[in-house]
Amino acid sequence: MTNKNNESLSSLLDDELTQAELEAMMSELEQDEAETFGRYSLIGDVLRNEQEIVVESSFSANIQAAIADIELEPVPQEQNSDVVAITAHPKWHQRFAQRLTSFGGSNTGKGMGQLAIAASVALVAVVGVSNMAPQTGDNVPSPVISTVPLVDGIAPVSADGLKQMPTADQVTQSRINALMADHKQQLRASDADEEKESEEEKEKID
Amino acid sequence: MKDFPSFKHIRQPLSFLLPFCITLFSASVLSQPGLLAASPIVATDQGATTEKVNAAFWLGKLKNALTKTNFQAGIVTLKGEKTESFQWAHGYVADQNIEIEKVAPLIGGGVTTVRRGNTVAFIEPNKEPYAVTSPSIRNFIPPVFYKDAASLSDSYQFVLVSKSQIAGRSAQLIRIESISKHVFNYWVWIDVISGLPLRLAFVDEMGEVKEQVLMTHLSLNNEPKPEMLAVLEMDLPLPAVAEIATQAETNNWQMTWLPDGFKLIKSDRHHVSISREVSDYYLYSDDLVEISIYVQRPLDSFKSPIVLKDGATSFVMLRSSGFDVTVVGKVPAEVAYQIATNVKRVQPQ
Repeated sequence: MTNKNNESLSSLLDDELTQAELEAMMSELEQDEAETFGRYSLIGDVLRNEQEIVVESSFSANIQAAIADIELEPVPQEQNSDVVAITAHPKWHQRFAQRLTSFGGSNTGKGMGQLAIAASVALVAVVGVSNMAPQTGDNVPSPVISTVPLVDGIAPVSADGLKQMPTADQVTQSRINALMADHKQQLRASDADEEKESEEEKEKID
Repeated sequence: MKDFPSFKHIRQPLSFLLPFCITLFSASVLSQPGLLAASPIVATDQGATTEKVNAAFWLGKLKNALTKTNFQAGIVTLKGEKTESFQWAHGYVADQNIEIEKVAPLIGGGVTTVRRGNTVAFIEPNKEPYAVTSPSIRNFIPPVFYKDAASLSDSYQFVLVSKSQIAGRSAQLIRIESISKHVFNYWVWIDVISGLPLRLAFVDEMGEVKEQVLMTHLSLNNEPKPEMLAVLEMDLPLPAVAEIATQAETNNWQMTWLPDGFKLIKSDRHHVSISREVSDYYLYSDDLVEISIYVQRPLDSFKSPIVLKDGATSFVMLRSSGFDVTVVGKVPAEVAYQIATNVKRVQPQ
């Protein structure tokens, strides 16, 4: 059987054959091609929503027969089985889900479950942060010397003769914050010092 | 033009004649034989003197308005890409000769500052209020304008520019310019009628505004508002003792370079707020802006140098001869960097 024949079969089903072509083809049809014809018309019916798919019961019976011989190794039922033991079981995910459900039902389990969710969120956050590595190289348009996240609204800036790209870790950042705050405090205190001095001067004059 | 720029803006003859006469008088007093050589330099000096007298008139007006009038104003500060807005109210109770002032963020949650006389209290939600002794609220107006701004160190010169309009009011612009160009220029637009600042800006050498304060509205009153008078009765915390865990002056470090006009205000060794790290500390000022210099033990993780900027404020931290030197202040980052690189250790005798 050639593809050419199949093509004419397909054309036949789509009503694209002339009478002469139809007769010529029908005469050439053999047994296996008749089966092909049957399948093609089924496909066409399904595509046109004209056919209810009849699944033969023998199909599932065949599958069951095929897997009937496969023996599952018995897993010992341990009360204190941990996750590793659970995963050893072929249907471990079902059992795990079951255990999780029953655990979540208990009082301690509820809290733990929330903790687990929080932990997973934290993990996602950590992964997210590590994906946001500072841009380097050509992506930085100007000689920006620092891509440090903004501290107290301070933006990175370029300065001549500085080529390094430092990343301020948390220790450095907290020091920067502390020094900025201290600078403000010192200015306030400096006014107080000055006032005291001027008052002392006044007293001297008096 | 620099010689007699005052001709351009005589719009208020009476108020203007006085400083002008003083200028002429001082100029004639200065006309010693040596100076009569009339070289261009002398002419410039004379011009600067004229400007200084004229500026003194306006800055005196400004100081008077800041301390002796009743007003309510809206303020917007623009720092880099950050915008903050405040309500600013000031009252003067003449019979008690006491000032009351309040600066509150327009959008809640921030620090509200209340001043009664020389007591400045900082009130913040969920925090214990505290107070310091100061004649001004250090927020958007440099303290020098509450003192004698015309006596700013010789590192600045004054340039009076023709009047302009801000928020529909006539304003006199005074440019306070750094002669050495090492620090920012400061431009002040003074309301001709009230004497209050309508706009203040740190401007760099290229004329670019680095940080500015704008008055969005202004209402003047003859008497303090009742809500301001309430501040008179408010329970304010007692001013903290000025010394914050300080020790005797430190002289371990020498600043081998500073911009012109900066003088040491104080030096000590103290625990930095928040982090409690010990630091040798130096505070310098040229009257208009201040520079803090910190010298600390080196941080292992710190990769020198770090240069950060927030509006006109620069922050430079770098490693120098085994110590971390930090310079903070409203100066260009390049200048802060140069100061930091020139902090040298004094060799023990």
